[in-house]
Amino acid sequence: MLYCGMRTIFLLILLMSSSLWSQETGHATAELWLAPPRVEEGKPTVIPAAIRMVYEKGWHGYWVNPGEGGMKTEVTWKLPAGLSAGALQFPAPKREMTGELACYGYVGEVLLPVLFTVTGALPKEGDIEATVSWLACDEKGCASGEATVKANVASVADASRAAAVAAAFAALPVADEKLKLQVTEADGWVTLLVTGAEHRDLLGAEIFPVTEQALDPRESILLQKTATGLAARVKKNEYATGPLTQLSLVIVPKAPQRALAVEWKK
Amino acid sequence: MFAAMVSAISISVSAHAAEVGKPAPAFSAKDAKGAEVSLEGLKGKVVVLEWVNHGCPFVVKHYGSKNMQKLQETYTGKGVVWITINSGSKASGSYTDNEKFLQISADKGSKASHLIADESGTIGKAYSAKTTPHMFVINKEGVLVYNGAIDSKKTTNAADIESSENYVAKALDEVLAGKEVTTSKTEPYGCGVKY
Repeated sequence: MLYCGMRTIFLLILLMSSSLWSQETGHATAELWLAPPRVEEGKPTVIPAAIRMVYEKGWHGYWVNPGEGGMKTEVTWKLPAGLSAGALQFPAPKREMTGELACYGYVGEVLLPVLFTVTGALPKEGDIEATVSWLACDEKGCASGEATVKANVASVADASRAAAVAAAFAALPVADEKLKLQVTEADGWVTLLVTGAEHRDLLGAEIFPVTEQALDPRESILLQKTATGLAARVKKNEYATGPLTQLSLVIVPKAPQRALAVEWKK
Repeated sequence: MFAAMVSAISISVSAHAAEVGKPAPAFSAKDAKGAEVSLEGLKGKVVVLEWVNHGCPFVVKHYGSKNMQKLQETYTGKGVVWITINSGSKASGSYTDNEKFLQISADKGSKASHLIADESGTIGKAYSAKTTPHMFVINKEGVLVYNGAIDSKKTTNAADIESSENYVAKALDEVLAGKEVTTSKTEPYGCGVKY
């Protein structure tokens, strides 16, 4: 009887755990971390969350634009009724090399934020289930990984995990309306001109293209001072088809400041 | 060991780069069975070059699903010469000697016409082969008419194959019908070649 009672308690603890399991395949682990629901008058209730990826030492995963080769991390969701998932979001990456291929990605730990919106009443029970697919590579090889991770909407969010989820949202690239991006191209080279950045320290900031097949990933793109503003010149991606008509970039300042998102349309 | 050295030493290529619409870089090499393969000698045939590394998840996607083998079977059945090349170096750990290359390919049910262990990376570098897989199609006149990915979905998930556009099949159908290849250059996806 005592055994059965303890077993039940153990199972309850297991079920209430905010991340039911993580799996170790593909040289990385994946977990689903939830923060407490955010209820605001006049707005739909939301549940901030993140897929937490931890890559083995020496291995890296990929950004939304993976660069040469590689593959972005993707999630498919199974959600309780009344919940909808927003897009998986990606913090600013770092440049990594997979052998001779230049790519954009992450080493160590990264949290990929996602926002769930409650369309009716907040469900009292039910698992949010995520099937996470990723690619991890090191200098010599690549491995694909897949894990199904769950979190119960009724579980009490672990305070440290909730704080990490909040920090992950707060670190996502943010738009700055004062920044203007101009893009020109000639003879296979693209010039990026950023103006309106006087209130920010963006000298030497590194640029990462969210838009795929636009800019060559093989060289770092760094903002330099010019007479007309901050600019960078970069080779056009050899697989770009026709003139560039749209470009989304992430700018990562040299100093530890929040990354910025800028857009350009022809 | 001796066979591998002979294979590596016998590979030779022409100097010009691989560019769609231009003559494909000429090469000659001994295949894994010891037969001489020369691009010049294949004039009059449509040729496919496929870069491979069976340890790569993107290659596993296309061999595990039999997608690659079906393509090989379909188009060699139409007279296409299909050459599968591994340009992985010994230092990278991706190299396979001729015996192992033949064995793995047989185990996978490969229908390629030739296998070439390009240990020195000579052919791979001449074509700027970047990934495994990376696909090239050369027409009967020896002109490169396709350079790029096998298909349109940059994933390791075999379930995506059915809904992908297969660029190689499309290019081969067009070139065999005497038509111009409409999608002639795409970004290849996969693991690095491991030169």
